[in-house]
This record gives sequence, C-alpha cells and structure tokens, in this order.
Amino acid sequence: MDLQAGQNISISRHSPAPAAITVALAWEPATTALTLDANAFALAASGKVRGDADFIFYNQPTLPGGGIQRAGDGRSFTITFAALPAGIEHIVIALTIDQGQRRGQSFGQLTQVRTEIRDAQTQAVLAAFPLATRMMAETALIIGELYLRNGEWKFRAVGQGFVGGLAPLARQYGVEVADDPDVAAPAAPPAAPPSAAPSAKPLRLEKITLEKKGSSISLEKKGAGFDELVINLNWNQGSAKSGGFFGRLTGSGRVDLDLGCLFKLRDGRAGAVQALGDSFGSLQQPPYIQLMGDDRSGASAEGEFLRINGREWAHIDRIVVFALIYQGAPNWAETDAVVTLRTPHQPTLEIRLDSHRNDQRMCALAMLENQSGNIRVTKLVEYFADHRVLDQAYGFGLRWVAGSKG
Amino acid sequence: MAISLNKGERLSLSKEAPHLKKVLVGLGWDARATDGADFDLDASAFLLGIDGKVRSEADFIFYNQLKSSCGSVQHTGDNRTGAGEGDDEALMVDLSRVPAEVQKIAFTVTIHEADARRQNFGQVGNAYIRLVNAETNTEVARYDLAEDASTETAMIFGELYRHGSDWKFSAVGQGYAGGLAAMCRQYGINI
Repeated sequence: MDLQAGQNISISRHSPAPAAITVALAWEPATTALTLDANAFALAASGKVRGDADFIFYNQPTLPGGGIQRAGDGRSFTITFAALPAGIEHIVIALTIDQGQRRGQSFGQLTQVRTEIRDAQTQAVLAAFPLATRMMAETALIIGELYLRNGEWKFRAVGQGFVGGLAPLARQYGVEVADDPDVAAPAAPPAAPPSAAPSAKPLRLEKITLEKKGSSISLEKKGAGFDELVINLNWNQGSAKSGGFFGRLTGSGRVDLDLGCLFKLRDGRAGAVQALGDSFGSLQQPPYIQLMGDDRSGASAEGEFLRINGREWAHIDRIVVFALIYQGAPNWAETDAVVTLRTPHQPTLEIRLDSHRNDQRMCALAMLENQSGNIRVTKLVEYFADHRVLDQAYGFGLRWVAGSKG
Repeated sequence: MAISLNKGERLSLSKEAPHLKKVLVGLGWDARATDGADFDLDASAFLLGIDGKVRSEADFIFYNQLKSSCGSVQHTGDNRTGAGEGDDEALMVDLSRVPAEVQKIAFTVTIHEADARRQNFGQVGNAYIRLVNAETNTEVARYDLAEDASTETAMIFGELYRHGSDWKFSAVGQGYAGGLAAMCRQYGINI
C-alpha cells in the first residue's frame, strides 16, 4: 500500500508480524549530483535520544545494544524490534543532503524520494511512501517514524524537514552537534579539556569526501593515538533482477570486488593483506592489518572490511589500499564503489571510485602514510593490470607469483 | 478514566458524566518543529436546533466570534501555532445558560488552509481534542487526531445533546475533507 504524508500503518498487526523490517530509501533521478545520507534517531518516550550514541549515521552505523543497523551503502536500515534496547519508543528515519545548503542544493532537485518498508526476512513490501519532492527547499528530510503505540509498532510517513540540513535535524532530537558540515569551518577551536565522560563529547557530523585524485587529508594523532581504523569497500552488488538465481549461476550481471592492501612497516618488512593466497594478516601481530573475510557470495550488504590496529600505527610506514576484480570482465562503472575510512573521534573519509578504466583489473584506492605519527590519507584511484604493475608504481618491491583464492 | 476514541466510535457518556454543567473542550497540538508553514488548528462550536442546523450565524463560535450571543459558549481565543503547554485552544460551555431551543452543540476541529498548505492531522505533532468536566476537572473523552484520522483535515469531535433534563456527550470522531467551510455548510451556514 502507498502512504501519504501524515498517514500511519501498523507493522505489528501485519500478518505475519515481521520480527525485523528493512526501511529502504531510493530517489529519482537515481543519478544525482546530491550526496545523500540516510540517518536514524532512536528516541525515548520523550522524543529525544538518550545520548549521542542513539544517532545512527555514517560515523556511527549501528545502535549500541542492537536493533538498528545502517547498511553499508547508506540507503537502508534494518530494525529488529525484539533486539531494541528497552525504552526506545520511536525511530526516526531521515535523509540528508551532505553540505546541501553550502552547495546550493535541496530536495527540490529530485522528483521523488521513495521509501519502502519491507519484511527483513522475506523482503515482502509492507508499505511504500512515494514523496514528491519538487519545490522542496529542505536539505534534511524526515522520511517517517517508527513508533510504539499501545504495544504495537507503527510507521508514520512524515515528509517534513529542515532547510538548514542535518544540524537542525539532529538538534531537534536532542543530539549535541559539535560541527555543522553545512557552515564554513570555524577558526581552529580551542583545545577541549579532557572530558571525564566520553559520551558528553558532542558528536562529529563531519564527513570528508576526497573528491580529486591526489587530494589528501591528515588524521592527527590525539592523546593515546588512534583506535581501530576500519576501511570499508562497498559496491553495488546488483539487484535481484540483474543478479538473481540464474545470474549468480552464470556469473553474469554481478561484479565481485576484493579488497586488499600492500603495506610497508617501519622495520622494512613489506607484504600484502588480501584474500588471494589467504594472506588475511593480523591485528595483534605485524602487519597489524587484517582483512575481515572474503565475501564472494555477496550475501553481506556491508561489502568488505580491512581493519588496522591504530595503537600500533607507529610500526606502519605506509599502506596502499586496493580493489581487485578477481572474476569476470572489469566494469568499474557498474560497481558504483565507495571506500570509507572510519576511526573514532575523527571525521569519516569517503572516496568514490571514479575515472573508470574498464581495461584494468586493479584499482589503487588510497595511500595511508605515517607522517610523524599522523595518518595522511591520499586519494589514488589509479588503475593497473595486476599486482606487479601496481607494486612498481608505488615502490613496495615485492615478489609476485600467481595465486588463487583457497 | 477518560475514554480514548477511535475513528467512527460513538460513546454515550451518561454514566461518566450524568450531571454535566460546565464543560471544557480543549484542543492541543505541538508547534511545528520542521521548516514550512505552521500548523494552525482551530476549535469551533455550533449551537444546533432540533433540525441539526444553526438558527443563525450567531450560533457559530469560532476564532472570529469568540462568544455566543447567549453567553453560554466562550472560546478562549485563536492560537495560530500550537506553541505553549497544555490545551492550545479551548471552548468553555455553561450548559445551564444554553437556550432551550438549542438541542445539540457540535464541536469540531479543522486545519486552517489545510489544502493550500497540504497539511493533515497526521502531520501535526501530538494533536488531540478532549472533553473535560470543568467542575470536577476530570477528562471525559479524548481523541488523538494523528492516529486514526491521519489524512483528514476536518473532524467532528463530538456532540453534547439534551436528554430530558440532562446533557449527554456523544463522541463522533468523524473526519472530513474540505475544512471549516465544509463544516459550516453541513450545519446550515452559507459561506
């Protein structure tokens, strides 16, 4: 059924009652200059978050305690009702335009934002909310709200928002915002006194997209150093239509990407962390880099992850993170791939794979260099035929033999 | 305990409030937090004869006519945004002063310029209308406008009507499109 703004439906009374739902967002035109981010706010009965951890967004993709998971592509949330912490009575789903106001953008540049509520298990659509967005000056849009009423979960389509973007939206629900990505960065803020309660720290909304090849940013070491760095590669794994059962069988219609890296340690040792040759690395032992599994099934919507033990960053000299198309014809454009680098208390970095070269199988994504203990991240997005050529380009000096995945 | 209405429910409250004398009808909603046109909800009352129509325009109590000519119905005034705690608009009815020809008083709530602003009750935060026995200060009935009538823009909340020497309240909870103008026409006022 299609909902109008203001209309509500019962999720719990649906037969069979879903244990978990997916709230999936899509927009038209699908290809847009807008950078769109999906956010969720888990609210107590008061209509406010209990703390900043109840704000689920690109810097914080899960609700502590469970129940809400933001997909790696940033376009859907999975909500498992029984897993929600007690006291959460509303979940607001919102869509925001990154730096929309600063860039003179708004939802008026889209024709429609379409939301589907699906049974997470069967993917059956329980309700859809097609919202015409032409003429909307807002850069933050409250899509709808899941709420508990008389013991049942309901969804209300909202379709209202804020011209001022994510910052006023977050404040509305009681999230303390340290930086407003939509206004020019202020002069260097005074050093914050060490805070006893880390939760009292205002949340960073900042997300930095490295737009151009060669652009770079330095993540500065603070206090004890870095915590864990998580590098995620996510890509469009193909819809059921283009992939599907037979698509998977014949290997057509889907592109499988592998994430890996070449590293060089301060002591001169160098190597690769990748699924090829089962070189998954280690977090506690050198190289302090680990690849979290290889997902050729495409079952994980989260893509692939490389983790770096930030506490051991002093031992690392540099890392080149790469993506590899192991099987099938290279079609980088179709993957719509995005690399994000997250580390606590730092802005999220995002690099999109662009300037595609479909004659090449490998893409060097980003360089991470140890510069006086800080992490300098540079966007590469350079394409290469194989490991050997890539290695030569960045001077790791490794020996290469043909390998395959176990 | 107050009775919570669902859409289309009719409740006769002879047990809850058999000797109603002074009645307060309160309307509340949250001021708009998001950007865009404010939500302006209006509470109104119509004094109706046995034919279900007003005797004249003087029997229509609303934001531009805050008091009935008989003085039995008093509107506390227009709130255009829903700002503030508690009831945002209220109508006070002194049943002992209602003229004998008036058989029924209908209470309605409408959204001002709902069509132009493309608004409905479901878009308004925490919108309700409630009936309070003003002498005992007990809430008798409440209708949560955003839940059961979410896409409506006009609502008949309920009717107070004569039953012998007593007054009773019937909770109607019926929604309409067309706003206040449609309500007026229904009760015999030409706009």
